[in-house]
Amino acid sequence: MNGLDLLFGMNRIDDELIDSFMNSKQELFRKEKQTIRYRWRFAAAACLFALVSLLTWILLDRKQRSKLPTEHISSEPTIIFAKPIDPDPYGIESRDKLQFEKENYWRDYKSVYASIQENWVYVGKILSYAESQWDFTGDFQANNKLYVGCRLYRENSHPGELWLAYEGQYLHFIAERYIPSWIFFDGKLYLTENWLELIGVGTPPSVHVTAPPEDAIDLGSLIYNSEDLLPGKNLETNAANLHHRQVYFSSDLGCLLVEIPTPDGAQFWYYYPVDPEAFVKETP
Amino acid sequence: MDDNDIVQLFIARSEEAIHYTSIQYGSRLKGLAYNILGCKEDAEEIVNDTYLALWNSIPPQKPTYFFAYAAKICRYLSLDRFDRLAAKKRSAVIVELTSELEQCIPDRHQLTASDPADIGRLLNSFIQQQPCKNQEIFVRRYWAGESISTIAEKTGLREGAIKTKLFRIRKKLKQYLEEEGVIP
Repeated sequence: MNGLDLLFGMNRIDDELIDSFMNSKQELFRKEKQTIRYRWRFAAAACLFALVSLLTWILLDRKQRSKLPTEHISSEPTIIFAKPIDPDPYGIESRDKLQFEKENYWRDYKSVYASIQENWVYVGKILSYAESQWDFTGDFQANNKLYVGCRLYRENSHPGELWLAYEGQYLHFIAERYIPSWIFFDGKLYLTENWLELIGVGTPPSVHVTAPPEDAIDLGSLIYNSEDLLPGKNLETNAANLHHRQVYFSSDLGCLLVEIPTPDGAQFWYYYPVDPEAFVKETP
Repeated sequence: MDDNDIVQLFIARSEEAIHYTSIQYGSRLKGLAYNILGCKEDAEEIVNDTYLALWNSIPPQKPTYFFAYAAKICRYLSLDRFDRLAAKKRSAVIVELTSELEQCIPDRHQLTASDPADIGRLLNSFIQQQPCKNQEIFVRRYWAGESISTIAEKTGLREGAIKTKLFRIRKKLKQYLEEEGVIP
């Protein structure tokens, strides 16, 4: 026997074996099977990667959550804006804590206003809002401090309370009134729709004068939108439509005096009798 | 056209059988013959002889694997032609292949004569025991006479890896032949 005998002997190799390796159709079939195998391997690897990523994410998320107190109500809140403020000499409002707008308003305006000393200052934008849980997140600025990525809560049982989670800490704010009907902002007075009803904008005033009395104290510019100071209208972005009217308060008269300009340039001052006490404590 | 259809044409004695065989497998058969003989003209002649052999053998034969059947005829005819050629005209490829295979048979003086059918049975049995990849490499190299580079290209392995695998397969074959008593 020699090498050639072996070569000849190989002619006895099974047809099936020869066909599977040498027939181009079979080759294609085998390559296809191999491709499918590779695809399965790739899919399996991708699934494994996704699973590992998911597990990592879950673990990291849990770790992150564990830093926050689970029962924020029972945790000891840190009250900010607790700086004592002199009582408002006009009896309009005395605040030492955060107040926020009426639900409809701040939900629509997506803004929160805080009371610092005598003025309302804009605190920040609410970036997202989950209505069902009274829970939203946003960036807030107060006391010259920026709170980025806060979570805000309002307890259903205590609608005047506002909770703000920030850096693992809960900040507690208490609104004096559930539905503040007006706000000062940057030295200016903002009215909500309830206040429009109160002062009777759009209805004939009972009294009017051509100048405010001497004892009247300038409260600043009253800003309202006569057409639609309604939910869905943003005071900030809708500034062009806002009406600015000077507002005075006369403690002697117990009135607000609102400037009503006329087309010929003459000024009238409408008196709106108000009870300062009711003004302060009750929602109109 | 399917292999079965070609076989049916042969059985029906239709000359289209040759035509379709040529379209489907002509170049492969020619390549196989060329690998063994190393001569283009001889290879073409062998392919034509193969067609004739197919025509004469089908029927009564009705091969399940038509390509393997045709390729075996082609290979047998090529080796037969090779054996009859003068040494100087012999293909370098076959010389190389026989030389490689003779490494499985170290001492020629101690060889026992074996029936080609027995050798075929042993080789068949040996190949069946090998892993699939090794089977392919072995068949491509020693059955079809393909070059190392061609095998590497078709199997996706490096040439070095093919050489190593072939060396190990030959070693195993030697061992197997010893165990089977072909080499005392």
